[in-house]
Amino acid sequence: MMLWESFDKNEIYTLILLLGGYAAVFISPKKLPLPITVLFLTWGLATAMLVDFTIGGGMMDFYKINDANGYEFADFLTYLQFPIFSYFFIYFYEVLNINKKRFIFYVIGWVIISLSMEKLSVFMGVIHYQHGYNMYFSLLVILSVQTTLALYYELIKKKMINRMP
Amino acid sequence: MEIAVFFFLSWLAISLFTAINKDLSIVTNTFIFLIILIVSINFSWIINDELNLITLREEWTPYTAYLLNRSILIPILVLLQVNLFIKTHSYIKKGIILVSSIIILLMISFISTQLNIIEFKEWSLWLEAIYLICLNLIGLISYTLFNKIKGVQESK
Repeated sequence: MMLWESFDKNEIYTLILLLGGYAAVFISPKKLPLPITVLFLTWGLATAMLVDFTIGGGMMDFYKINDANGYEFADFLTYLQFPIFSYFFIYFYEVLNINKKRFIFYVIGWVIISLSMEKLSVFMGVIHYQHGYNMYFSLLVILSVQTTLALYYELIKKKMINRMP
Repeated sequence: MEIAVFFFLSWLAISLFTAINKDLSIVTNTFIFLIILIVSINFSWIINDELNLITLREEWTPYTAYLLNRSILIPILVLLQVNLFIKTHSYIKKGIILVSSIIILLMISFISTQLNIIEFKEWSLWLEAIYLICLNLIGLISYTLFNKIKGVQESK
């Protein structure tokens, strides 16, 4: 595994996003219990890798991350961005007290944020679409991933409330 | 054929996992599953695509079976092992559970080679066994780690 093919704007963009994102995670007021925070940081990393190594590589290979089709260290750094998003997705879900009525608007709001970030990543040379892939496919992926995340959080919240005496 | 076999095995593993009495919470189980998923995805990518120690058949049905194995079957079987391992207090039973899990996962790798889903180039079942031992241990370490994190939260 190489570090990166060439250190330029995509790597700089990733590093700035990581530094800013994790600083925000650490300084934001703690609203979630530590195990839940760790769980959703792990969730973000696992989801990013699952999606990328399934549709972004192998037989489908719909997009390239950073400079090469192979696995660079810069790719790993790119995956580390996603825990920040899953953490803040759950963080604001709690802060904004999202319920059944607001659920759809909340997910749509995050889909818009995610698609905008993806557009920026394409512009910065982090993501390169190939083999006919475009942003409309990303809409399907992001919508599914974020709905699953929200539904899973609702499920564990319900389980935790039921376990309380 | 390949999809049918791996779909059935995945269904069986999920059903077994659902059926057993679990001492671990949904949050702990999810955490362990995600850690094993991350390791399984990265390891399979590195030995297949980066190092070419194993080759995949570039057809849709065996490839889908490979994805089912990598992303569902392996993590669920390791999770099943962790749950059964934690449940028992006998060291002999713990050993049997760990060895059984590794043998079952090795048999699945063997089935993958027999169905020509994967082909071992510079890889062998012995090396696969070492990887699977590590994977099962990572499952147990994840459980211990998450318990410690929960302990930190409770002590606050």
